[in-house]
This record gives sequence, structure tokens and C-alpha cells, in this order.
Amino acid sequence: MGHTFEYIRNLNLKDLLPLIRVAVLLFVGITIVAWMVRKKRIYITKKFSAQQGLIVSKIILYTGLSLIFISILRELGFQLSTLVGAAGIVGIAVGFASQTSVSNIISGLFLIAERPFEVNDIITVGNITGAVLSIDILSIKLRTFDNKFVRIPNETIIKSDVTNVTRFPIRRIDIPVGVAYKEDIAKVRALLLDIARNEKVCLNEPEPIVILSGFGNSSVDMLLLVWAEKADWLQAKNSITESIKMRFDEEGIEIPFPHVSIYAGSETPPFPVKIISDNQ
Amino acid sequence: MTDILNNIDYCWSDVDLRDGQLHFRQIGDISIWIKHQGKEIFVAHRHINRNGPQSDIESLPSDISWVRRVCRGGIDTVKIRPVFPDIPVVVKPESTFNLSKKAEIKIYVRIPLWVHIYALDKGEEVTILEAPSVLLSKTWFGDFFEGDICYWISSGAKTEVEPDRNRGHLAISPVHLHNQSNDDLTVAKLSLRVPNLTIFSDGEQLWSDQMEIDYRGENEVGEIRFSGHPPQKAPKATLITKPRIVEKNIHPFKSFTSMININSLGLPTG
Repeated sequence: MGHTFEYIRNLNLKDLLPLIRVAVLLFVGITIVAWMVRKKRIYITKKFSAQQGLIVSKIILYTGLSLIFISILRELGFQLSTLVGAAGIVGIAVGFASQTSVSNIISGLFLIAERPFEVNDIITVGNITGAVLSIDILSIKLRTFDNKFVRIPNETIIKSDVTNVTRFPIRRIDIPVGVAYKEDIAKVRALLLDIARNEKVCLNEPEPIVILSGFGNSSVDMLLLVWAEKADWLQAKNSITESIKMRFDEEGIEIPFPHVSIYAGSETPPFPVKIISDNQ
Repeated sequence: MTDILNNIDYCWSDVDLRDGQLHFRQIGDISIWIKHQGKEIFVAHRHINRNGPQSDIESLPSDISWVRRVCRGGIDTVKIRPVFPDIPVVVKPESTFNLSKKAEIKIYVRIPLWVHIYALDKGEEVTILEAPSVLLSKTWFGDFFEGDICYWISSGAKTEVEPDRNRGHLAISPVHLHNQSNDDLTVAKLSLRVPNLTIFSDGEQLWSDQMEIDYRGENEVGEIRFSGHPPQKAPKATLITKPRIVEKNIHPFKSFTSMININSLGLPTG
């Protein structure tokens, strides 16, 4: 402790100058880099896309920090050529020890180049669906619809099937509808098309269509195909389904559903059943 | 009653708020209520449900929600002006027509306008409400990868038109089509870039400036030009609303659809 005080007391301006320069470099450098990152990200996001804004801001950030780091080392009197040599040896050692990270970095570069999705796109990876928050060097970050934060390593993305739900501006909604065998199929078809045409969030074109998809155990199975803007997809699906139920009830069209009869076995007495006539 | 309500003078006149009353305005299918308290302006609107039960359109629904705008100064007047829809409009002529090679035609299309309600707050324009006078359904104009979301209207696409002051919520848009290609052009649908149009009035009818659309071939880039001047039918009409997007020329890949090029199954056809 006494030695430290002694050292500080003996320090003159010449000794302090590099330290002051380092402090100024750190303060000014980090301030400028942070300002540039913020400004460029806002500008490029506005002008181009959030994805490009993110990439450019990361490039500025890493380049800026590297330059500050190199400048500080020079101020402190380190020989850069020696450091570069040492970094090469250290790099090999670190590389062997961090194969997964390197794999993620390379996968990240592929993701940026291939652009299967961008920031703000909604993607499905495995059984996780969410909006892309960022595409970083090691991983991508998602926000799921129930507001969970999910980090997926880039290597996993490269190896998995990725579905980009919002790549194209319009999406199809497939709504399965089952009606009783006694119903008039032409009438049901006309009613379904009328529902789709009256729904404001459904697009007129591509035109909605109805497909008779098969004969089920208890129903004639139909499929209503309608198109909506990607932003309206959920609203359209919900309101059409609701309208179908309402209009079918109004028109007296039966939607059959499976009934379950429980047989309790021969050891137990039969279920009590009381038959009531219509007149009672 | 509807005719009186949709009269051009009635639709787009200013609302004097000094009397402190609740004001009502019906423009096309939209009912608008406006009231004012001190520095606050309250606006509510509702569209007529043509499929639902008909009720007295002037009576204020109990469940209506108000848009509330607090201004810096006292507001005496609220201005109501027409604007074109915010996205292009696809016009489907009632019957498809063919345009021979090098032929041209001028058609007139009536387009439902939007209502822009604003006030001058210490000389600065503040928007209170912008809403369509008629709720239009939407459509997709393009292929599965590229295209535009547009509103959808069907039109007689007639070559002659008569002004109608009792349909003040509609503007007549003159569209000049020119088939510059060496093939016949079948016009099944037409995409009109209405955000680029200017609105004029001659006191009898709202008009837009003329839109010139050149077709140069199936895989050629065409050209759309907007004159920016009153149309020939109303040369003395005065400017009411400037275009939302100021762009005199557009070079779209597509303005016409002469065949069904996408279908519901997601398969390209035609």
C-alpha cells in the first residue's frame, strides 16, 4: 500500500500523459462509435430495411471497437507486429477450443448472405414460432407470441427447416368445413363463397374457392380457401370461422360432430335410459 | 334523403363549431359526428352496414367511440375535404374489352373518396380523422411474389360521363389507355394509382386529373402519367386536394391484367 502511494506521488505529467490519452481515446471513441451506430441504424432502417440497418450497425460497432482497441494498445506502447504474431498462435489455440462458436459464426455469415429471413419476419424453426429480433454473429433471437425470448444458435438454423411465414405479402387461409350428408352441397358452396366475399379482410383476388375434399365418417368434408394480407391473416381466419357458424345456424345447415357412446362392460348394469315421446 | 345528404355542397362544406352543438355529416356510407369542448374536438364515425338492420342514420349510437384531439388554440371551424384512397384501386370493367394494337380509348371511372377532417390550429393543419366514405374490399394485383394490395371496384368504364352532384362522395377519374404494343390487349382489370391523383371541383362534380396509361407489351415496362391539370370535361375546375404521392410519371411492370394469372390453389395459370 505504501509503495503504491509512493509510486503515485512520484508520477509526473510525462508518465500520466499516455493514461490520459487512453482515457480520452476510450471516452471519445466509444461516444463516436455509439453515436454512429445509432444514427446509421435509424437511417438505414428507414431507407432500406431493419435487417440492413442491423448489419451495418454491427459492422460499424465491431470496426470501431477494433480501431479503439488497437489505438489504445499503441498508446500503451505495445508493438503491434509482435501482438499480431501472438494473436495468430492464440487464434489457433482458441479456434480448436471453440469449434462450436466458429461454426456458429460461419453459419451466421451464410444466413446474412442467403437472407432466408430478415429482422421482424415471423419464422418457424422446429416447433418455435416467433418474430426475429436480431441476427447476430452466434445466434438469432426470437420473440414468441406469448412474449418469450428464444435464442437459437446459427448452426441449428442452418441445419433445420425454417419456415418464413411473412416472406410474401399475401397468405392463404384453409378452413375445413364438415356438413351433414343430407345437406345440399351446391347451397353450402354458395353460402361459403358468399361469406368469403362479404368479409372485408378477405381479398377478392385470388378468388376464394370451395373444394369438396372427401366423405368423412359423419360429414361431407369441404375446404374453403381464401386469401388475405399477411397482417390480416389471423383476423380473417377468425371472422370467417365465426361467420360460417353463424350463417349455418341461420340457414339450418347441420355441422355434424362425432358422438361417443360409453359401454361400461357386461359386469356393470346398463346405463339407465328413459325414452320421452315428443308429446310429453 | 340520401340524395340530399350526398350532395357535393353538403358533403364537403366546413363545420362551424361556435354554436357548441353536436354536428352530423353523412358522406357516402360514413356517418360522422363532431362536437367541441374548449380546446378539444371530438369526432366519431360509423359506416352503414348495408346487410344489417337499417336504423336512423343521424341518431348517435350509444356504443360509439370518439376520437379526441386537444388543440393548442381555440378551434372555430373544422374542415372536411375529399382525398383519394391511400392505396391503388383495381377497376374491373363490367365487361372485359379488347383494345386493338396501337388503339387508344378514354374511359371514366367513378372512385369513392376518403374523408379528411382537419382543423387549423394556430395556422397549422392538424388531422382529426381520415376514413373512407365507402368501405371497399381489397384485392391483390400481381403475382405471388410481387404486387400491390389494392381496393377493388367494378365500373362500367364508360367512354362518356355525366356529372352527378348528388353523389358527392365520388370523383370521376378520366383514364386514357393507349395500346402501344403490336398485340391486341384484353383489359379484364386495371390498376389505377389513385394516390397520385389530384382532386378538382367545378361545383357540380369532383374530378381527378387525367391518367395516361401506356401499354407496351406483356413483358415490357409501361408508363403512367398524371396531367396534374383539370380534365377536359371540366377545364375551369379548381384544385381541392393535392395528390398524396407527388410523382408525375410511374413505370410499372404491370397496370393491366388480361388473364387470370394466379388462383386460389397457389398455382400459376394462364
